[in-house]
Amino acid sequence: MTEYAYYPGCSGRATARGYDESLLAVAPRLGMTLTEIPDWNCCGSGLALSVNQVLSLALSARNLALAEKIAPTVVTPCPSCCLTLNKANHVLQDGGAAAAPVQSCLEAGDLKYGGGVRVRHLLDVIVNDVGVERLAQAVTAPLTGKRVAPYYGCQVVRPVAEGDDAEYPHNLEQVIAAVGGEVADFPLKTSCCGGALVATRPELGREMCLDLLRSIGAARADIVVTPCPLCQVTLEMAQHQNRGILQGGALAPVLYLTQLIGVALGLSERELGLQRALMPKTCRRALARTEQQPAL
Amino acid sequence: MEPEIVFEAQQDPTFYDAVAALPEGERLRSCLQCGSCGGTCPVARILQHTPRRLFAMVRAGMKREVLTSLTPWVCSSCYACTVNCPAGIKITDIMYALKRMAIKEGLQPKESDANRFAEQFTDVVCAHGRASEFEAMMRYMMFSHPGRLLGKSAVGLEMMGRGRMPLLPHRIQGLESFRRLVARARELDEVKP
Ligand code: SF4
Ligand code: SF4
Repeated sequence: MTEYAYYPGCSGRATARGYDESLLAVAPRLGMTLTEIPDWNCCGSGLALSVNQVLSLALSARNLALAEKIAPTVVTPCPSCCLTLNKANHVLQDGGAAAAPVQSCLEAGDLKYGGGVRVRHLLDVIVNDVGVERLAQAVTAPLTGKRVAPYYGCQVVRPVAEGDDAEYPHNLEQVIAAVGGEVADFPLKTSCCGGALVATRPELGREMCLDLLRSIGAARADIVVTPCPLCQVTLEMAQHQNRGILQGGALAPVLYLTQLIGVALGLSERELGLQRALMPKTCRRALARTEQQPAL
Repeated sequence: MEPEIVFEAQQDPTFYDAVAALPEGERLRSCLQCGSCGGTCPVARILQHTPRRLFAMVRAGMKREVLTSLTPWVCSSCYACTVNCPAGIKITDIMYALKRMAIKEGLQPKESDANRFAEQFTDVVCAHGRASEFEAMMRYMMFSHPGRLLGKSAVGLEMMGRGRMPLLPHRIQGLESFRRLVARARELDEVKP
């Protein structure tokens, strides 16, 4: 068992509860021990960074300091949290002029960070630590015959694709193959979903989402898988709100990475938080097995 | 789109240097004006100023136009421009820096109040230690776009019914020391050049 300090991110306790639940359900079966960082706080994402840089770095630094007490590696399912925590980690590990104000904030909060933590995204950990062989061995209900569209979103592959190829990422494809599915390749797999615009520019966000869903539909996908909680909720809400004008693969259920894995490990709908889907019937239909007994 | 005419007297000759002094700003001096940033940008279709154009405006000292531009505020932080820039300019980070500069100068982007959403979200985080999408969205919608709230409320209710939109934000336990950390950060950011 490998030990990790777990940073769920705020979405993991709200819109992306199914991600948190399914991750906690599959982790022990993949040899991962996750210890939640005690009393972690919001990293502020890009929004706090748009307001105050010292604050943004300090919010992340607090989490790093708390994590350092429990494990050398932080794992998070949220690409945006991963990037934000990493930005602060690099500043503090470099120890240059930019680190001083952040250290001062930590002191004000009675904390200390020695720079001994590495922050990684869950997809990188599953492919490169657990490994696809081990994942494939754990599969008991392979997704035979299911076409799965790998949707990366932005921040898992940009600005750095840790543990993957930046130009041609293939970590998700490897996971899909390991769980016995077929890859439904589509050209927009690393395009932006427009999720950041949902509150402030909804019309533009909707357009970006519809382009994406149509591209997924053209790939004849049965299921979409994403490692990003923001992409998931953005696509799912767009499907729900535009279900009158979308059809076929464009309405394929959007699963979190660990929900897809969990289905192949034979876990139940509740264990994986799948009942929280906005369109649970579509989801059940897409996951139902044709030849074998339905796993759900 | 109306062409912008800016007379020399309205330009701010110190602005280019001020932006270059921002984090990741120095590299901006090597911008080739090649336009590949705008070519990869998913939101360019609604932008009056692509990143390339915005940086040309920075060079020309068009401070007010740059700091009220919509571009940094609709930037979705997809980092497509950053990984494609032949000059290695960290464009997305510069967009963040320009947003902070605009807030400090008290300038509001044209045709948007996305700055308020960022500030309100940050205030919620500073108060509770955790984000509440619900609270931040409500504050922003109530004050700025009560009309949009209706369109969102149907799907919002469904999310709530599935336990995906808690009404009350989670509060962290170490709030007292957390607030000291936040207060220090707010203080230090003020005194920066
Ligand atoms: S891609 Fe880089 S060099 Fe080219 S115009 Fe944009 S910022 Fe300038
Ligand atoms: S990071 Fe922002 S400016 Fe750059 S391509 Fe993406 S949306 Fe456009």
